[in-house]
Amino acid sequence: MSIENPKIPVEKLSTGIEGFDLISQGGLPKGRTTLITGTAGSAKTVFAAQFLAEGIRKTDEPGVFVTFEEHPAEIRKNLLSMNWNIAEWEERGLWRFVDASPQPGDEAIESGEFDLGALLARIEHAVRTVNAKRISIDSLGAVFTLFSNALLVRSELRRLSAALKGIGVTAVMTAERTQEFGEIARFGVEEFVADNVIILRNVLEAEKRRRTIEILKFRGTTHQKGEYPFTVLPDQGIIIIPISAIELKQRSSAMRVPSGSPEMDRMCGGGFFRDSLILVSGATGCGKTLMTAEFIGGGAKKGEKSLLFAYEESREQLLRNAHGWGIDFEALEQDNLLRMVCAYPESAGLEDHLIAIKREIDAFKPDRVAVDSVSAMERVGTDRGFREFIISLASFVKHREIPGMFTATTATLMGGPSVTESHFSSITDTIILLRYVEMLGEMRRGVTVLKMRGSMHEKDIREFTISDKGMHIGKPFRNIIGILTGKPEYLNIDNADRLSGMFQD
Amino acid sequence: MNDTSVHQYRLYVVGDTPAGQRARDNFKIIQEVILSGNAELEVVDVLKSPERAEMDRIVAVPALVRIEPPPSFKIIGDLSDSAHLRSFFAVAGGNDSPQEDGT
Repeated sequence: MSIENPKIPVEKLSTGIEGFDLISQGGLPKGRTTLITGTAGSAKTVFAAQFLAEGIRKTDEPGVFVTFEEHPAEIRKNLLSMNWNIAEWEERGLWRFVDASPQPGDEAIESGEFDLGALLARIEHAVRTVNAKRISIDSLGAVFTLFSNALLVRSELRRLSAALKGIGVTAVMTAERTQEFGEIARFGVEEFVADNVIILRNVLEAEKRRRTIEILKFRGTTHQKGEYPFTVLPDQGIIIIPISAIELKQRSSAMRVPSGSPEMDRMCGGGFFRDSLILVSGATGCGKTLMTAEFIGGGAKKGEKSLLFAYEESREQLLRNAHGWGIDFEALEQDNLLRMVCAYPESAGLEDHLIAIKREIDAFKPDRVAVDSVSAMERVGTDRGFREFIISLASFVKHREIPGMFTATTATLMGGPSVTESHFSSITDTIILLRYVEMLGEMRRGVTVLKMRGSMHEKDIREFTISDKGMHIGKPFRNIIGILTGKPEYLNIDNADRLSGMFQD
Repeated sequence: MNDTSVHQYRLYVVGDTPAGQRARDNFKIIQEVILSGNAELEVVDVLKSPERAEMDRIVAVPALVRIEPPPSFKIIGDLSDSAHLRSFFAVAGGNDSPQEDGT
């Protein structure tokens, strides 16, 4: 055995699994073995197979797959649904199976001493034949079920692990665990096979499944800590959403873009910043969708493309509503100035929505993004999942340096806080509040710019009306307090004068 | 049951190991005592013919595989547990000597 030079840091092998290289700070430790543990259905086999598939697809690195569970024919078939054509890779000498899966009638009778030397020889042969750089072994728990002597299996797996180190391949081994939180793996395999441990979880929380990946340890090298959500997509495999690993490195621009409403531009001191996130919060029906329509229309006037994610209304409803405000969404679509993506929040998990949004943004390359409404997503995931969704969504948009408008529906009609606001407000640059105002037996609408980073903005709460030409922002409300809290109160003129006088010397 | 055809066995080993040698020696005893000398043995070294081990899906060694007559079966280990093997061969239909109770 060679003694590694402690001065040379552990090299990493880029896995090619989306998001994984970010959270692992470069990939799996090169030339070493990493244990992937998880409960049944936690996507261990997918990870093991994808590790090889991405090596073949992205860097032409051949791989060996050792299977103790599923028959190679099953694996070929299952992974074809991910668009990984293993049979073709086998023909091209890029993928090789070592089949140790149990077959009916294959059970061996044990008589006397034996070891797993044949397995080792077969693995070494397979690695040599295709000149493999990567190897996946699925799964260690299954090896224990093949033989009666667990002690022997242990020592043989230790030998296997050492042999792999000697060959210099980067290895992934999977192992089962019985609980999401508890011992790392069955049979205590983590103690003797791997310096590196990754845990995949598939936790049922509030009736929703949430998949996460955690790098528990990488001996001698660094990685991001904690759990990261991931999803398994039918044509892409595992995609990890590296929330807290996302860097805040976007530049900041002083360039302004029109909001779509000249009065709103004035209230914001000359329009929105080009790379800002705008949160529009208000009760249902008080004009949030209208603001996004204005935002899209304002962009289109300058020839800017907008991408709209609608989670509350269907395409037809949107077309009709926008038409009612004098904005022709259909014409904008034909001119390729608008793309509408309408979906029910419940149609997929939060992670899947997030990836769909990212894909749409990457494909359409919009100049503006609007999401109406973000709060509709609250009901799809857990509170924590929703917070991660919002942070990732914001960072996707920010990275493209385009303005993004997100709407949030307040819990009560008269205003008040919402979950979306509490998660979102600190990362948004601009917050616009829309509120119902009860005045002398009449419902009016009010709008105010609550916050605008890096710019002067109006502090008034202005009244606005809606017509077939869109949104009209009028005069500020006077002699009325408590609009934002949803409890408006009138002041008579004397009181108002006296109050404003209190703050003058 | 009178089986006149020659039995064919294959023994997988990895290199030259004490367990592999013991398996060969023990097979000789089985061949004489249980199979009445009516068996052929081919020894395959996995290091030299890994493809054949792949075909027979050999994981543990030494491994004895019966090729003929069917049904095929696999015995892993150095074949040292003779009492166990004796009863196994009796059930598997490899014993054409009528008196098996006397040792």
